[in-house]
Order: sequence, then C-alpha cells, then structure tokens
Amino acid sequence: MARKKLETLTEQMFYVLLALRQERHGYGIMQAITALTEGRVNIGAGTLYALLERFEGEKLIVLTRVEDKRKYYQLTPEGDRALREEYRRIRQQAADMEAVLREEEGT
Amino acid sequence: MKRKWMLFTYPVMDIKAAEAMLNHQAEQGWRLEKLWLGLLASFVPAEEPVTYCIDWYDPSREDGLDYRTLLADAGWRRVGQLSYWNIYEAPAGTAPIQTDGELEYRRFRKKALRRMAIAWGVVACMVAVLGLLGFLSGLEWQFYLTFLTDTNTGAMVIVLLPLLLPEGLLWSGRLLLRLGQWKHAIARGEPFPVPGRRSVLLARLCTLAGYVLVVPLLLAFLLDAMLGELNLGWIIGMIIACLIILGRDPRLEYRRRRRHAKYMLACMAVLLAAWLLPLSGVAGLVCVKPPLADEGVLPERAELEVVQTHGTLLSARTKRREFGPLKEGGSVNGVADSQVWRLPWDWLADWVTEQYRNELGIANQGELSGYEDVWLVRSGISESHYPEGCVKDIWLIRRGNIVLWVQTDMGPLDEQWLDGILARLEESGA
Repeated sequence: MARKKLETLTEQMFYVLLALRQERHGYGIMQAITALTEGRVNIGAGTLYALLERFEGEKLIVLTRVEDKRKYYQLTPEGDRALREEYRRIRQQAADMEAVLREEEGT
Repeated sequence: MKRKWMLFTYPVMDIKAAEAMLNHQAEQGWRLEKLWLGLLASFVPAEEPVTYCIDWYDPSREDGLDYRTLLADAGWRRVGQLSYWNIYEAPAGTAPIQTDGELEYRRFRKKALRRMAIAWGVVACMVAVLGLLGFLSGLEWQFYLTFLTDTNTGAMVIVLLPLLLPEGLLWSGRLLLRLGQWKHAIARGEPFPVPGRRSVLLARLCTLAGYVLVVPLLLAFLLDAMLGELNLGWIIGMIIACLIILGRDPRLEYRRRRRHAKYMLACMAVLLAAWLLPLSGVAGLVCVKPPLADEGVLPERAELEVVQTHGTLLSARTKRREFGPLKEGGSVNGVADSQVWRLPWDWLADWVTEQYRNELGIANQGELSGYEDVWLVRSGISESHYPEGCVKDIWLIRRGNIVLWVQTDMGPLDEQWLDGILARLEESGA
C-alpha cells in the first residue's frame, strides 16, 4: 500500500513532474496542471507540498530559488528519467489495450 | 448581525465530521466567525459562498512559511486553530487542501500521531514512576492513600478516575477505529469516511464532558497553591521556562508556542500569587480538618513531637511522632508513632482498617474485649535498657470514618487512655 519507492507514479505525481519541466513555484504548478488537464486533475495545495518535499528528497526535482516567500523548483535529469519511464509505461499500457481491442474486433 | 452557535467539541479523530459540518453550514449560507475556547463555533451569514478544509498540524510548531504561502496562493485562509487542527476557508469551488489519502494520512502521522504518542508515553511514565515509588516506599497502600489526603489535585484525580478512565479508553478506541478506516480507504483509493451523525453527537458530548472534568481539576490545583501544597520550585521553574520561550525565537513558526507560554505564564503567576498570599486559612475553611491535630495521642507524657497534618476537600490525615520518658521521671525516652485518617467513604474506612488488621497478624484479629472496632497487640520488651514493665503496644481504632493506628514502646496504655482517645475521636465527629 505504501509508496516507498517511486516505481510507478500516481496521476497527481505524474502531472507535478510534468509541470516542472519548466521552473515553477507551487501555485504555478497547480495552475499549470489545471490548465493542461482543463480542470480534470486538481491537486490540493497540501498534497502538492508533500509531493514537492518528497520529490526533492528523492532528487527528482531541485529547488532553484526562493522569491517572495515562494519556492521555485525544476525537474532534475533523474526526475526527467522517471517521468519518461512513466510515459513509456503508460504508452505501453495503451498499446497493449489497443492490441487486445484489435484482436477482439478481428475475431 | 444574525449569528448562530454550534457545539464544536469534536474529538481530534473526527476531523472529517467537523469538516463536513462546516461545509454543510457553508452550503446553507453560513461562514465560521470564531471558535470559542474550542467549545463553541459562531457562524454569521456568508456574503460569498465558501468552503472549508481542516488540515492536520503539529501543535508545538506552526507550519513553515512556504506551506502557508502555498495555501494562501491557492485561496485558503486560516480561520481557526485547535489542537492538531488548522481550519481553512476558501471561495467555494477551490480544490481541497489534501487530494491524496495516503499523503493526508502521512501528514496526520507526522504532525499529530507522533505528538499524541509522546503525550501517552509521558502519562505512562508518570504512572510507572508512581507505581515504583509506591513499591519502593514499602507502604504501598498508605502511599496511594495519601493522594486522597495530601493534595486536592490528587484527591480530585482519584475521584474523577472512574470517569477519566472510560473517557480515555473511548478516545483511544475511537482513534484506533479511525486509523483502521483511513487505511482501508487508502487501500481502496476512496476518500476518508465521515462518521455517522449519532456517533459524532455522542463523541461531541463525551468530549464536552471531558472539558467539564477539567474545571474541578483546575480548582483543586488552585486550592493546593493556596494551601502551599504545590512545590514552589516547580512554579518558579515553570515561570522561568515560559519567560525563556517568550524571549527566544520570534519567528512565526513559534507563534503558537509563544501564545501557549503566555497563557501558562499567566496561570503560573496566579498560582504563585495564591501560594505567596496568606490564603491558606481561607482554603482551609473548605478542607476537611485533620483529626487529632490539636493534641498528640500521649499528651501528658510527650515532651517533644513532630506532627504532619494534611487536609483536602475530601479527607485528611495526621501523622505524629511523640517522644517522652518510658516511665514517669525516668531518663530513657520512648516513641509513639501514630497515624489518623479521616476518610470520605465507609467502604474506604473498611478497607484501610482491613489493611491495618493484616499488619496485626492472623493471631491478633480479635477485638479488644468490651470495645467494638478496637484492636490491641501487646508484646513484652526484652532489651536491657528498657525499665521493667515496659511493653510495646499497637492500637488500631476505628470510629466512623476515622481510623487511628498507634505504635509505641511507651506501653502499656491503659483503658483510661483508650477512653480518652475514643472521646476525642467522638468529638472529632467520627
């Protein structure tokens, strides 16, 4: 149950890392995710804070600066690898699903 | 302004019930105005639709500035604070503060559960130390009985124990139940459940009862200060600790700790004033008078005595050691140790008598001939420096709720002495 290691990312984790391909502060990340998903994914401020702390601890993101009491973060190469790995996994899942559907349609 | 009030005594683990209630009020057009002493919540009509979230937090330390800035950016404004809870308000439609059950649970563990475990640990240590002290004293039952006779706080805790214990058990059971429910919800990817209305109402009433129990405890504490039963060094130490906290770190993170220190300082100042002012006479008026406090058990023979008297709202005791010549005009001194208990309940006086009777030994369980509830154990003394005819007496006398134990080598104490003591016990209101 506990997500000790980030072997797979939850949807919220995925979008936070995705938003941090650009340097952003916390609220900027929330706005970016809402805009990107057209409001489908909303991440709570408390949840985001916990995720940022965790990602920073696992060196997936790095604190770049502090301005007006706001911390700015950006993805590290390791974070980018984790994000791409998740992207590959999701694509693989989608491809598997498509294969099954094609097979069903063919029979 | 139109205003409405609601009981807000939710136990800490009913966070989702409190949040649901606030949001229910918000849906009906009310917004939280203020929390009063953690007991009542006042609501006023909301000009704009609002929503509420309650977030866990560590009562010993405010959340970091970056966390608060993030919440403020997201639209959340803190409108109330209780132990372990920060209550936030935001325009209706704002995303909740916590949107991941597992992370919310982790925050609870980090901010609240750890603190609670420390508090339980402290209570467990105190109980263990008391148990050890009682064991080491070798007089376990007398040691524990002095809680009832020596300090009002101790007496009040003992009296309230039948209520405090079930409260504590209910509270712990409810917390364990919630922990199970939350873990179950995380495993199923569901939001944390909101407890049922009846269950919440019962929990709120139990918590309110818990608050009510604090009042007599505080009064008992104040009474002890007036009687000088509180340790002055402890009071001064607490004042110094509060001043250090207040004079130290001015950062916002420690604002709540400083606020607690201010309250504590005010309380300690009251206790110190009560301790220093000559109020013991006033406090003594409401306390039970220690029995046989005016004169010793051997007033005509004792030349020197050391007396301790204690009285609380419920009971009292007098402990005395008297020294005097073994024989009239003699040069060898003897000792008479006595302890008199005035107890609040018959059953307790029965129990204390029973304990003393056990100390008399199986062979000495018969009452003194012609006297009810009087026991005597008399034994000869073989040591050479004692004058001839000296005996050791142990007397146990029960009159009403007063129990007297006398142990002396100044015996034999005769019937005249016994009648005198019995008359004095009757006068004491036995």
